Order: sequence, then structure tokens, then C-alpha cells
Amino acid sequence: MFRKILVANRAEIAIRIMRACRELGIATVAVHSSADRDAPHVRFAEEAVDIGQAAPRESYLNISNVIQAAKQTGAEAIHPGYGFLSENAEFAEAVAAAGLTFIGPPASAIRAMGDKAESKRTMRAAGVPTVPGAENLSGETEFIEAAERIGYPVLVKAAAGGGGKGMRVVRSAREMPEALESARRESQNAFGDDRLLLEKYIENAHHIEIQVFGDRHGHLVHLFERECSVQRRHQKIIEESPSPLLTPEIRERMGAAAVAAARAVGYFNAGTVEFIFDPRTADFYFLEMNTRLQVEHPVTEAVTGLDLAQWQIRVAAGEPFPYRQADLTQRGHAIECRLYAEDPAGGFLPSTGRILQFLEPRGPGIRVDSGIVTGSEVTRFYDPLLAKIIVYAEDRPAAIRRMRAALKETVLHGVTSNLDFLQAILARPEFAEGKIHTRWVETEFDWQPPEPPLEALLAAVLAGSALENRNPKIEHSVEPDPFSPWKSGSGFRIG
Amino acid sequence: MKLQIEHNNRLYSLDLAQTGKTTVVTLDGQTYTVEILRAGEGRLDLRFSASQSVPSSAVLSVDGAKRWVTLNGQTFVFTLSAGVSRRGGAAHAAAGELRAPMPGQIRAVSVAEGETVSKGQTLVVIEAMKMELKVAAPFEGVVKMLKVRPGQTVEKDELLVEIASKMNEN
Repeated sequence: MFRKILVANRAEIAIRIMRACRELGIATVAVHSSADRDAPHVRFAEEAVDIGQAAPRESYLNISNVIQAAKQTGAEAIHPGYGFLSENAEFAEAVAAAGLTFIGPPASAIRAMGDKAESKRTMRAAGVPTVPGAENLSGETEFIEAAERIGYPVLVKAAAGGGGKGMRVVRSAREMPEALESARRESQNAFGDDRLLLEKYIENAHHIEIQVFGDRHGHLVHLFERECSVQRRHQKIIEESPSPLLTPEIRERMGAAAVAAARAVGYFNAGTVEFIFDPRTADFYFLEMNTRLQVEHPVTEAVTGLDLAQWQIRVAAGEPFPYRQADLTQRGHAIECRLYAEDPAGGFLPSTGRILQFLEPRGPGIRVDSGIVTGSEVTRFYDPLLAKIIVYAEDRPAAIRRMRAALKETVLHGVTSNLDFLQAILARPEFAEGKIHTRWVETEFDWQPPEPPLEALLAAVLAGSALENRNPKIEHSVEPDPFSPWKSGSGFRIG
Repeated sequence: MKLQIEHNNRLYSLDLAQTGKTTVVTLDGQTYTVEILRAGEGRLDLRFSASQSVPSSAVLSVDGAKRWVTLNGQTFVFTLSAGVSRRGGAAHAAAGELRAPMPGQIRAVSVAEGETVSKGQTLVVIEAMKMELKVAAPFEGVVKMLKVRPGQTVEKDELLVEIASKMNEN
């Protein structure tokens, strides 16, 4: 087993991985940009290395700085988390070339799945169902011709993509030019690669993915599904396991397809095979494989009872994964909500600022993976994900009730967040019925922030006197409250 | 003591009178008696009526004139104004002034001053937190002023482009 691991990431996932290391008795090294010097993930580690400026390119995406940090601190392995360098085959190779262990799949598997067009060909050859589409197109005319062959609506997406970046729904030839241009630019910015491909767009589609896990000795299993259809801008906000849509028979078929997909690229460690699921026909199509730990891995951990982050480290060190498919069970129900620094009433635009208060929910079956504390700065440089709230209960209705109670107990002040929005979704009958598809938030859910009740208004105006009695340790300003009605010299009379 | 507080572009005018721990608040001709039971460490425990056996506990953060209030699991952001009547910011902005909808970096500027633009045409692309956002012309017109360049960082609501409507010029 490794004695020291460098975690090449930030925020909640860096802390999640460091917790796994701590429980396995492994020392941890954090890396950070100049903007993250005082970030919670840095304080959580035993050692920390400054790897560059705030912009990700200069720091968290800088391969040589990350590897040098590992060498310099004597780390033996690097865990990439998700995002940043996690799906960068060159990075995985550079780690190995430096004599260190990359905690993840083989570089060849990352590369095979990283190119979306190539991965679809590989999947078709392996007998995994794929969405009808077209690739290697150049120029508007070819895209439009292919779209007409497949039938509108179609999806334009980055060949090197993932996470919704560089992806556009196109409903007519007229919309094609601008979709191509913006998808190209976004793809270039996100992946340094502007190649695009086209595929059939399935209406009311659900996003259901299968967690796979394998060791370095050829043993590969699936750890059941996660339903991730509650999305905005093609990015997930609520995930759960099991999916309310799957029967045991479909689950088994999807699981087998996912294992076949992983086997086709010689996969080991944790990975996720994403499928588009057509609720009308129960057909499923390979979407892509994420060759890393997912944001939503905690729901799988809850229903299987396995610690995926710890198993990632153990199999990277060469341990065999001891469970056969028949040993694995999916028990109870888990839901995850992603708490984002964004404004659901304003087009989900990211918000920045300083966290004035962050109170996490507590209670049986509640887990919070967070990367912020009161006082943290949320900057424009990084992903707006602040924290994940995960609940586990004996069945889906109980898990929904538990999540609603947990969200109600959560407090986040200082940046606009989607907390009220998440609560509103959980309260909807469509959620209870499992009818939310991947475009539901954008096309059917017309949410308005609630009007403040009188009590909240009164609390706000009485805040002045509250602040005067506040504990001086958490008082920020020199002048406690210039707007306090009690400080005003004139116009105020008792009675 | 009169004061005004804004939430989501709506302005509330209140009148407050304090006697010890009890405050009488008047809003829209109605009076409410509120008792502050405990205040501090980001919390405010209030009693709104004598029959209330457990106080309402609000989580409260103060940031300048801004008040973040969480009560019964819902969060509201208020802005206190020091007695001066205010209107929503959007109402003040001229229709042709295009402002940054979020803080971020300018990724692309696809127009120049003096250029004619059509309704819906993308003028500026902003990126923040790995997300791209297009700022488009709200109507046909001429670019009167261009305030940003690619690579530049902007704050939320910073002026990006000003468009003069063609109709106004004729």
C-alpha cells in the first residue's frame, strides 16, 4: 500500500479522497493555486504545494507542476479526482513515466473513451447499443446533410467532450451555423480540441448510468445504476440510485452492456458508462464513458455499502477487488443534491462572493461532502459546485422525505445558490413519479423564487439590533451596521 | 423610525417603534408586535405572538446593507435602503445598455463601434466557472460604444456594449 498520495484536485472531491486516504493510514498532499491558499482542502491535508496562478491552466491543469509537487513531497501515487486532469491520458502517462502510480484506469482506456467518435465505434464493435449519429463531418453543409439523414432534432457535441461542454440541440438547419460556432469555441476552451460530432436527439430522454469497477487482474463488475435525469444546461443537479424506471431485467441488461463496454477498452479502477434511456421504449444507448470517479459516486456508495474512493486506491496498489457480481446488492435508496453557486431565477448563471454562513444538515442517513466553510471565497475561476448533500433511506419515498428535511436544514448565505430550487424540485409530483427527463428543468419547470413571508421581512429589519449583540469574533465590519434603525439619531421615538 | 427594505426589486416601507425587547412594526397599515428573545452568532430568535410557544429562529447574515435571512428552510436576500426611495436597477438601465449578466472573462467580441447589428446577434461572449454566456443585441441598431476587449475581466452588471436603436436615429 502507498504511504503518501497527492490529490491533484480541489474543493469537496479533494477532501473526499483525503478522507479515504486517512482511513487507510495514507499521508496526503494537497496542491493548490494562488487563489486557494487558504481553501478547506489545503487545511485538510498533511502537506500542501502551491502549483501556480488562479487560472486552472496555470495550476490544476499544469501537468509538470503537479508531477513535480508529487516528486518533491515523496508521494507515490496521484489521485486526480474528477474534472481537471482526471481524463487526460497524457497526464496518466506522465505520472507513470515519473515512476508514480496514477489512481485510475490505464491511459489507453482514457484515450479510447476520450474521443467520443472513436469510443462509439469501439462500442458498436463490442455490441453495445449506440445512438444513431454522424462523425468526421466538416463544414456546415455536411452537418446539415447528416442532420437531415438522422432527422431533427439533433445534438451537436464536442468529439473530445463531457459534462455538457460544447453541446447544442439543433432543431432546424437554420440553427446549425451558430450552434456549430459556439460548440466549437466552447469545446476548444474546455478541451483544446474543436472537433464536433452529430447524433440523434431523443425527446424526454432519461440519463441513466452504470458504475463499473475493476481490478488490475481482469476482474470487472458493475455496481448498478444511477438515475441522473434532473439536469440544467446538460449538467446534473440531482442523482439517485436505484432509478425508478428500471426493472430488474433492464438493469441486468444495462449492467452487462456497461461491463462489456469497459472490457472492450481494457478497463480497471472506477468508471461510469452513461446511457441515454428512452422511457417510451425502454431502449438504452451508450452515451459516453467517464473514466474517473463521478461527482455522484456517494449514491452508489450508499446503496452498495462500498467505499469507492478507498477501493480505487486499493486496486491501484494492486489489491484484487474481492466481490463477484453475485455478491453485490443494491439496498435501500439514495439521493444526492448538488448545491451550486448559481442563480436559478437568473438563467443558472454562476454567482461569486464570500460565504457568510454555511450550516450543513445533520441526522440519520445524511452525508454532506463539501468544499467550503463560512468565510470561503467563491471565485469565478472554478466549478460552481459548493457541496453535495446525500441521503440514504429504506425506500424512495422515505429518501425523498429525508432529502426535503435535510435541504430545509441547510443554510447558505453570501452567494446565491440553488438551495430553494432543489427544494422546489423535490416537492414536485413529477419527481415523486420519476417522470423528470433531462430537459424538464429547462422546458417544463417554471420556477419563481418565493415571496418573503412577513416574518422573514421582520427578521431582516430587526437584524440591526441582532448584530449589535453578536459575538465579536464573527463581526466583520468596523462599523457594525450603518443601516441599523437603532443607530439613527433622528426620527426615532419610543412609543 | 421609518425604513425601507427591498427584496427582488420590490420595496417594502416599514415603521418601527421599540420598547425594550418589543418592537411594534407597521407595514401597509397593519401593526405587528415582535419580541426579540435572543440575538447573536448569526441567529435571531423572534416571537411574533404571545401564543407562540417556540420562537421563530432566523439564521441571519449581514453584509453591508444586505441581509440574508433563512427562516423555515427558505432563504431571502434583502437590501436595506437608508430611507431614500429606490427603484429596481433594471428600470434605470437604458434599453440599449448591455451589461454583464455575471462576473467573468470576456472570451469573444464580435462587433466594433459603429457597426450595424441585428436583433439577437451575438455581440460578446463571457466565460465564468467553465461556462460560456452570449450577450446578444436586444434590437436592431448601431454599436454606439464598446467597452470591453477579449481577455478582460468584468464584474456583474458592468457595461459591455451600448446599442443605439436605428428607429431612434431616424
